[in-house]
Amino acid sequence: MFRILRILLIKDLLMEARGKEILVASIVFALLFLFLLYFALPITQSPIESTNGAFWVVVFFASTLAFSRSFAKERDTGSLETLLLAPVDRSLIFISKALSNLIFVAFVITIALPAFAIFYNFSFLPVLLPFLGIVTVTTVGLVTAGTFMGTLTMQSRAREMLLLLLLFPLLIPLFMGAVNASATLLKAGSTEEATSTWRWIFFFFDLFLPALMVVLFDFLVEE
Amino acid sequence: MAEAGIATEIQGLTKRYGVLYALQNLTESVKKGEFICILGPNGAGKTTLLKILSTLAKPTSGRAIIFGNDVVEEPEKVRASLRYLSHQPGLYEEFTPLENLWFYGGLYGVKAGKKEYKQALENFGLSARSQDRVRGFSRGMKQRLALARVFLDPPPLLLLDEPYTGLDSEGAQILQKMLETYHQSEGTVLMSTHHPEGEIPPFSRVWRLEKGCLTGAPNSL
Repeated sequence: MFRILRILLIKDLLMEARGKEILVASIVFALLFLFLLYFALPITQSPIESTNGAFWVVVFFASTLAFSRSFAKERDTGSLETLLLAPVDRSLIFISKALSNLIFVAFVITIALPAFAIFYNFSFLPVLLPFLGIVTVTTVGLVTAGTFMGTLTMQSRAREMLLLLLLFPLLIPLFMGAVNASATLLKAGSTEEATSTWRWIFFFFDLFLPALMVVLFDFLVEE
Repeated sequence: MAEAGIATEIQGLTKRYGVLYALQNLTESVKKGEFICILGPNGAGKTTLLKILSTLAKPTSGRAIIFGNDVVEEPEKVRASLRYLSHQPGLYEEFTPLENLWFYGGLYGVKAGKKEYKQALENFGLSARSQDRVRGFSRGMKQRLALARVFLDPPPLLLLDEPYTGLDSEGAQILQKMLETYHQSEGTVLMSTHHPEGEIPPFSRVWRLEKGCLTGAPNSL
């Protein structure tokens, strides 16, 4: 199982390293979006809420570029059939895709976070570790739902639009959890206070949803 | 229970897309080592049949059994016993031919190393381009690479959907030779084509498919 996951992951990372279709687009989009929000949001009135909210909006939107391309590219070139015909458990294909998307989104966040600190003259450093904890649990949920919806919409001609329409309603609770938990953390500095209300949302998106989507993946890809 | 010596058994196989019947109540069997050519015009159901046998599509009703395993109930076992060449080569264009074979070999559990990969490329006349990215290949070269992949440690059953597509005369000769060798080693082949001239080996049995139905009794050429 781990050998197959490793092979699939190496394939995705090598393809991205050479094609640069997902990462470059996501990072450029994130930075441009950040630049626009910097001028659009009145950060002087509530800097923590505005900066924090802007950060999550940028992360959620920039990530969708990765989700829409990941399986769609495989389908367009016919290589999805090569994957589906392999004598392996098909859930491994979904898991590997979610893992490679997780790496791509983590890369985007790694670039976006310092950019936010510079643009908004804002420091996450006093609560860096718990903040990264909230970023991690949110990203896992975001990537799981995004990869699944990317699979669901890959056969559609208007897949980018459809992905946004299907994914964001599903992500509203996760988005609310991420925004509120990190805002509470940045204001109060307490991890316990930040996560107590939203803990179950994170459990749902990080544990229940991945398990459900691994099971459903086989039904999505069959004709 | 499948009979011994039977590679593929199809019983009342039907596939419907909405109101359209792609396959209608197909019943046939293929012995181990047989070479079946599936002839028929565009839209006859050839690709649908091969997709069901390969586990890429599920039948609406009926059964298909490959070496004793039902394609719906035991798809992983079925996939382990066959290779399917589809219309699209299904290659990774950012990879070199060698990297494509490495990935495929790893994923499909092929017992082969770099030496065998290089030999597979040589068999299909691709040695000189083994380090180039597939993105720059012509359709025919991509087809050769897709075929090199299929014939890399081939399992007992090959499902080939229009395998001559895009091949030049040299590529077609190579494929014919590979198919002959595979047939001599008791491999079973189901190959679809709508250009029978020159593509059907003399040792093959022919199924004629029209509008999702097998028309008349299958016959030898």
